[in-house]
Amino acid sequence: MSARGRFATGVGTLAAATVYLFTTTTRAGVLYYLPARAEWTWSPPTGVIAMDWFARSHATLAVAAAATWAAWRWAPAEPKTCARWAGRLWPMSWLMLAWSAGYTALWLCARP
Amino acid sequence: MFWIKLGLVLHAVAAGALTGSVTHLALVVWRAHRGRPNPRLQRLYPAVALGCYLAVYSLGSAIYPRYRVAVRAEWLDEHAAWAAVLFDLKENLATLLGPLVLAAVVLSRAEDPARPSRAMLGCATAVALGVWFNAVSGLLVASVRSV
Repeated sequence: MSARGRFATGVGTLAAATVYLFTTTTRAGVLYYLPARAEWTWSPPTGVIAMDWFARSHATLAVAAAATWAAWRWAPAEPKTCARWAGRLWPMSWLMLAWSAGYTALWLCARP
Repeated sequence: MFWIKLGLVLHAVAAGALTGSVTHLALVVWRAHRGRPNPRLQRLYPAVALGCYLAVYSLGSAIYPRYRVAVRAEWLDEHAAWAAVLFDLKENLATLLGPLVLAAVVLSRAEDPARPSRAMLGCATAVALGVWFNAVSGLLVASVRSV
């Protein structure tokens, strides 16, 4: 049970951090909200305030929940295998989260 | 305008509850790591933190567009750019904390409370530090035009 939990949360956290970093760096497939017009669009016009945070954030949280559930559901049956994978997944999750946070800080500070 | 103000106040109240729950969570998990577990609180605080996180996130999402247009674009970008950057940093960090809050809930149900894993210790500590950073950042940004 413990190893299964660590495996599932390791998968969920790694998947969420990867989605966050991917959508933040590439903006690929990100839906923008135009707060002044109360509209959603895939390609915001220039000179208009456009918010990508909703799409990036909701995608990150949705992937975290879905990946954690899926990993719990289809976790390896053998606890030792689960523990071994959890031991690999969590360091990668922390690394990806730190990378995401560091990239975000540098991107925001460098923004004109 | 009334609903936006109400949303902001409720957002702040929920953020206060979130800060309290994650701080207590970090304390009880580290205490358990040192041999003094409290199974009831170790399961209660993550669930409370998740509820508060969802409330803070939902209310923040509801008032964010108004902030983006009426506060940031019309005032902060010109007069206090540092506050605009700090706010965006806070919003993005809040997103990254979500998976860790969820992980803390799952781990609190799956693990033996007497032997919290390094993953649980890391989640509890990172979430507490991140939420404190966000709470202080939110207070600083909100205070730019008040005092």
